[in-house]
Amino acid sequence: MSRRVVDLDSSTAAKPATDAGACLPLHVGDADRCSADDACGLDPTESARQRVRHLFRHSLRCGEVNPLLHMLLRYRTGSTQ
Amino acid sequence: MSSRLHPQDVVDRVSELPALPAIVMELLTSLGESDVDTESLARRISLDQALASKTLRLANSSFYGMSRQVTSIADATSILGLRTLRNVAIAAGVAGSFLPSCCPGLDLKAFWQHSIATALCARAMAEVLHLDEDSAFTLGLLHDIGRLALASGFPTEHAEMLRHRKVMDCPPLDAERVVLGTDHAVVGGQIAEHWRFAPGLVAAIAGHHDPQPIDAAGIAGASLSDLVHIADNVAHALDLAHAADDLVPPLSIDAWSRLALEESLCLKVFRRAEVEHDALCQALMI
Repeated sequence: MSRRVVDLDSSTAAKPATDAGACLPLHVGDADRCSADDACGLDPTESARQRVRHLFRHSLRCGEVNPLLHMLLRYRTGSTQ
Repeated sequence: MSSRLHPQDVVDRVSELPALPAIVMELLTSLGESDVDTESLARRISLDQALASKTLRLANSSFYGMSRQVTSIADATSILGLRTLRNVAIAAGVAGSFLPSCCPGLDLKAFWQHSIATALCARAMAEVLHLDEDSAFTLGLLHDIGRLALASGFPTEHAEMLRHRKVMDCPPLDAERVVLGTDHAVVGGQIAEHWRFAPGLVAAIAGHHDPQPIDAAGIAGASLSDLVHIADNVAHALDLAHAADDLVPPLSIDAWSRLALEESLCLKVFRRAEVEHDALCQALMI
């Protein structure tokens, strides 16, 4: 049985995107919100976290178990072992 | 009008693809062989002007950090070694076989950047897993070759697929299956057969989104399909192609488990791929 990687709103899975701009209007939680780091004025660690979540947005939407996502998050945010 | 492709049309377009240069075919055939005539291969590479110049440019690039100028293919062979030379020549030969004009709608630069990233990840993982590094590199480089065939052979249908992908923000594989009725992995397997790749490479290209536990030789355990599947995911995750709408495809947990890569080894793979990627793309003028 699969488990969710993050707590997402299940009613929003696989919604079509309506805008290819900087911030994705997918409304599937924090994980999916931003793809243009600079435009959002975030600190580098938060920017890196947002970009990783943007890249993994399909996994996050589907609630896919994805160990690579967590590894990348640790790698990009400097919190590796 | 439906954009779904007739299977026979796909087969026909694949069969119309130009053959790879003979020397590249020979290098592909020699993957995994130990008794290769190095001098003969170097001589044959020298005869292909485009391939030789790309090989020399790469041998002289910062990627290999040579302290002196490499001026001949024979020189490159003795300095870089046959295995590296073979990888370099295959990369240069395949990249030279698809010109930007033949693939309207496809960002060819991003395509090759991702392919090279996958090749580097696959090779780095093969090293820590004690699998064949050359086959892994080549496989990573060619795993998405079906995308090139779809873009060049069916530009109208491919453009419709790209529109669907953008609207739905779904993985390309899903968009291809919905719009075209086939996908780049299946088509890639057909191309690999057309180019007479080894059965293991054909199976791994065709199965890189659906890796199976048995490899082409019938050996259970981690397969080349597993390796390229994970390398493809890592390459997307590392964001080395810098495509704004890039997306990491669904991960096969079974393949991940079969490879059983420890986190420390994964981090080593991430770092190595990032360090090598820019230099290799630059050297190949991608």
